[in-house]
Amino acid sequence: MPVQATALPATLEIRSFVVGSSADIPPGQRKIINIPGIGEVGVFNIRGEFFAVRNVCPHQGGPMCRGKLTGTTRACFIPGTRPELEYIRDGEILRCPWHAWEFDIRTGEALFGERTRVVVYDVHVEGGEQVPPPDNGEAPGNAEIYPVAVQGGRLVIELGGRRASRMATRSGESADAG
Amino acid sequence: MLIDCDVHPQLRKDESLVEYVPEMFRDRFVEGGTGLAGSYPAPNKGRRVDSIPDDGNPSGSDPALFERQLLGDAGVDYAIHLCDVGGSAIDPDLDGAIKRGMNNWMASKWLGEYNRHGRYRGALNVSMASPELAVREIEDWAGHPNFVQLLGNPKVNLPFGHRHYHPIWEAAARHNMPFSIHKASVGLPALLTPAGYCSYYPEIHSVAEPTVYVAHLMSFICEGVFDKYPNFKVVFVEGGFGWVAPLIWRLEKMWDAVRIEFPHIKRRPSDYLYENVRFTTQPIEEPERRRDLNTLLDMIDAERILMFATDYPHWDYDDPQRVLTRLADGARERIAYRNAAELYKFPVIEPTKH
Amino acid sequence: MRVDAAMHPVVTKSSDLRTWLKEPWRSTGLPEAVNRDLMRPKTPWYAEGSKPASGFAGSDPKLARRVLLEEGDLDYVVLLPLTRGMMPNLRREVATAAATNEWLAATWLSPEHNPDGRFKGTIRIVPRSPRDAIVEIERWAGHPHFVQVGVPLATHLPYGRQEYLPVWEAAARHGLPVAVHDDGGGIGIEFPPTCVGYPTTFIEAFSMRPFNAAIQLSSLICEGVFEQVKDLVFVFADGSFDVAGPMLWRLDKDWKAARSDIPWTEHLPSSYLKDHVRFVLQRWDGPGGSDDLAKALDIWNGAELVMYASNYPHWDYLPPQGALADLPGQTRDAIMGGNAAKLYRLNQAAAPEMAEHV
Repeated sequence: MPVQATALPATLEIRSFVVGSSADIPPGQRKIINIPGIGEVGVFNIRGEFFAVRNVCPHQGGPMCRGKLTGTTRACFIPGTRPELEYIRDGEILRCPWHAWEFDIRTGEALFGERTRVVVYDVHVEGGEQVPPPDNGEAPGNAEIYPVAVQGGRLVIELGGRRASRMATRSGESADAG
Repeated sequence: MLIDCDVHPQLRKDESLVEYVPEMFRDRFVEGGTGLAGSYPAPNKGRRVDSIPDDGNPSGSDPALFERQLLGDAGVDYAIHLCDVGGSAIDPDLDGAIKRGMNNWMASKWLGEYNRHGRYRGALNVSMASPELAVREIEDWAGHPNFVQLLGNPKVNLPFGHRHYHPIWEAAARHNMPFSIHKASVGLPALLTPAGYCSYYPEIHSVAEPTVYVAHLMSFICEGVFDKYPNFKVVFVEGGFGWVAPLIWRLEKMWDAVRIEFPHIKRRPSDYLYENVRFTTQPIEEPERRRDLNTLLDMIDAERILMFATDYPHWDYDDPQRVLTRLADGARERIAYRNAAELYKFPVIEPTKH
Repeated sequence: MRVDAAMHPVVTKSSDLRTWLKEPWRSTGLPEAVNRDLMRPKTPWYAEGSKPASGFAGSDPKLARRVLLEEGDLDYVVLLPLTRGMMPNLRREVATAAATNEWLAATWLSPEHNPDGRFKGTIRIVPRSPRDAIVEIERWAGHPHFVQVGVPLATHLPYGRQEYLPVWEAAARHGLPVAVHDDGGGIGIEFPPTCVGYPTTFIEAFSMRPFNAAIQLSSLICEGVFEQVKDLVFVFADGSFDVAGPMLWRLDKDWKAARSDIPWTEHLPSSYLKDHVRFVLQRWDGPGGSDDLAKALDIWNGAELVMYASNYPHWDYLPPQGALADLPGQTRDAIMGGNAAKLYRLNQAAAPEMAEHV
């Protein structure tokens, strides 16, 4: 079943929606909000970085944003014997609470194939001050992707302004209808 | 109208099956039977993550949430509970006691206290380890308005057509109770395949488990169970149905060549399939080209043998809005409720015509 | 090009194999060569007309040559001899496989019986003894007429397991596909043919084979074997394209959920078939009507994955004459020989010098 494109306004324009203060969603937390004309969107604060995901899995419509944020694995092939696995990208993979499909929270792409996507939106913080990430000794798996956190500003979701979100509306069909 | 042929209740943390188990077995009863946790680990730990109640009780244990998600969100009118919270035991007496405990609990809670709306039915657990105890269980509960079928553990060492089991099928037929089987991979011992033990959940869940159903289905047909008990019905729950096509194609083509093995069997394999056997749809087959599924279903008239199920609250739950709309118009009503209504004798609520 | 991807030659009488067996095995007990199936009914196990004046059906290369190559108008026949099932004494089983290869090379594949090279052979190995299996592959890989390796369907450890990896590597290194076929019950130490014990009738045990092949296939995919051995091809010779099809729908679906448990399975399970798997067609495969058969072949990509086999001289022999005649031309040609010719690198003109493997 495709993601319902009709849920978006007929004339799609770049609009934005103010979620509230970024301080309302501390690192490690998430909040599911209802945006008129869009439906439920989950806003995640992952180590100071914000992400927004539509609360509908492109597969069977499961409530994506109630899924676990986790890592994933990749294979290490070793000649002559069984491959081993390596755990990677902790906290960046959103798993659908229904059928456990893994999605990259940055792009919305399913890890099993990028043609299948959940709708993701750009989020940014207006105002507030930029602060370096807390040095708590827990170096993230890939330091370069957590450069700066923003505190205390207005959290704004860009609706329809991102390629991924438009793609997802289509890929929901191609992935599933075939 | 929508009938869901496979949902699973669960015990709350403060509940124990032990008080429902016959007294003389309580000292031996271990919660969970023979190692439910010994199963191949399933994605999302086997359950719909959003079906876990806020108070931290297990998924499927909160009747209010159960009702809201299943009867409300999914729009199910009637649901059939398949309870497997007690597991199985190797010792036939203990196994029988566990089955009795589950039936007592179901009758008291999910088919009693939580069933004021009257929309839940249940499967009566019977022990495959002891046909004698299974028959006693059937006789003791016969006439209970809400037990509409039997449930047996398919992980056995002798396929179900063997005469060892015939007393169960006789009693089931006499009381018009379809016999259902569900999930061959739960609990100890693990499934030993003809190729040896598998390593991973997808191998077991996708392929090895359905072969258990293949073996039982052939055994029912080839041992003449449906000739002996013509109104005996079998429901294969959660084992897929795409494989039914190649199985029945084979048996039909081979039948005349191998009739010498079956002098006692009067009809063709497909006759028994359509008359005596049903399959639930979940987890729905999802081929990359969606039309392939409908082509296949059409080739074997699958709308005659399929019944919808969600498997709530498990991880591979099927959402009716997403699954039923994939089916061809002609097939949808039969699969959504007509076949189940006929089998379980539910009153059919005709859809309102707009 | 018309190719029979599986014909089952057999010795004239069971004890003939002793000629090729090394001592001490030559002088000790050995399971029979035919009729070792569990619960085989009293129906003839062989096709009408396949039994020579003396000896087992399928034991006369001249008769087979006439029926299949001449009357059947086939260009090539791939010989897939069975061995004698799993044996408790692994050394005896290894010796039996080696003797089977010696026998096939000295008889059916000999210049006398195979002057034009239109019989192609299968190297029988015992994969549960990897070291011996590799020795056997190396021994015959240079022979011009052995084109694949043959392994039993029943195992104690599924074929995806790492224990077999060196064997599959050896086969792939020599460009030899690995054909899986039920090998009968030797002494009966195979596990039961279903996950729930022994069925009562032959048809049940027989019809389980394609499903059991799907278990082996899912093991190969889920253990990442096709990612590890890039040139490896498995041939499932007990039929089953139509069984593997819906089973892989399920596996594809589960993989999307459980992918992170088996990351070495980097692609959709069913996508490995194209490069790594072929199915031998049996008369039991697919629906009865030719329209429906065409549909089933279309659903599961039969035009690329399926290879006709006569299964001669077994009871379910599918004569090449008129086989699949009602299928669309391109699909029919591919299944009747095109796919097998590509897989086994068979040339159109089957002159002796042309048939020599390069």
